[in-house]
Amino acid sequence: MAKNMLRLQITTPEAVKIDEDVDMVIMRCLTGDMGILPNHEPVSAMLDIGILRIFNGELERRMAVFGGIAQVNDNVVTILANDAQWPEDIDFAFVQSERDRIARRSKEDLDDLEIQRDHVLMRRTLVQIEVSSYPILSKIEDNGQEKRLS
Amino acid sequence: MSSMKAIKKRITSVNSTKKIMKAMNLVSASKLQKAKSRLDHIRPMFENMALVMDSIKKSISPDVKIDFAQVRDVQNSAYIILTSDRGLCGSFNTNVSKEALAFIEANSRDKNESILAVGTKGWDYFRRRGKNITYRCLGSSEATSFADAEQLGHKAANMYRSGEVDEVFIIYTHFESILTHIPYIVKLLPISTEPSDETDQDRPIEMTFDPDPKTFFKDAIPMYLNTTIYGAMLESAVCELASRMTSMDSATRNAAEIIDDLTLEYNRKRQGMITQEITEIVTGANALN
Repeated sequence: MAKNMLRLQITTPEAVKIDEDVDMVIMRCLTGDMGILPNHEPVSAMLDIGILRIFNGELERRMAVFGGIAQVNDNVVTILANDAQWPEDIDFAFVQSERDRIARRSKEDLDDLEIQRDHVLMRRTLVQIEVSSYPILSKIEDNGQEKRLS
Repeated sequence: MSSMKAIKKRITSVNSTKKIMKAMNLVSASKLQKAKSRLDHIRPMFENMALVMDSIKKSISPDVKIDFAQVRDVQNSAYIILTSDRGLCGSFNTNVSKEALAFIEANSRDKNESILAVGTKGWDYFRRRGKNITYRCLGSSEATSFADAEQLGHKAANMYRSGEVDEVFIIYTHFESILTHIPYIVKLLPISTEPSDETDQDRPIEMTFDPDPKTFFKDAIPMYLNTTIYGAMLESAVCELASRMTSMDSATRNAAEIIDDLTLEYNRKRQGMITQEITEIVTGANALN
């Protein structure tokens, strides 16, 4: 029997981010993380700002997704995101300076709307930082494993 | 009969106009390339969105009340009309504005209309006809950003939700090819709950929603609106540029024709003058003998 795979399609207004077969997807929904394996029941979910984890064999990739709609149907995962970024799309230095700027602002006297907006921005930048440091972290982990093996 | 000097002057002026039009043709050709690639990028999202919405429509039970799908007694309608900010693009603006006007007049006999105009040209067109324009978005027709679409979508959604309007239409130009642009009229709100694809209507999908359907739709439909509007804006932008490119191209060719005609007239006049001078000299010489 052919191996069961999921078809993952992520589209944003700017581009098609990914369109390929994968083993498993874990996505951050409004109600928490949702893991999708082949033959999942049909589901429509709202995505939160968070990290999307894509598993393919031994390989795990991560992506920052900033809200959208996900639909699982017939082993096809369709994600319509407002915006999505691969680690290499993220300007790490800029994101870090953004985080510091927002953190400084939080000490100022702001009205509710501004606080709310800053809150969303902060979550965005934190997700971006986490995603962009992931490839480096995973490389360190891999190296550690190799050392232990040898 | 214009003098030779006047003809010369006209040739120079037509020539410089021709140069400008040639440059505009080239500029819009390169802008068109860029806009076209952006349109190609959003089309998959557009199509996926339609698919997702379709399968959702098939799976919701009729007793779920969705905010944006309630068909109300229509008193007020809103129309989003996409035109360009700048002219010199052939019949692009007239076509879409005329279509919109005809539709509005046919549709809102005893209803109030409010117009959300994108682009200076459309705004001007409907203002001169004394229509009620409630919102205008200027300066974004060529370089459309998703933020513009979001703003417009937000505005439309709020108008519908607050009961200010009972239906929302979008009127834009659909890009078929460089030479064919078709004005489209699409009903945005209320969202029809009928699946557009009737062939497999008989097999409903049992779908779970996360969170519950009501909350899901509250967030999903604005996003659907924004994407649809953004797609329409891009289509419009591509049409505008394509239309400008072709009209500038034909204008350049017309200018070349005019220059040819004028040069011919100029040469004929010059020839006539020379002949006249020779005749004068010869008659003068004959008189002396």
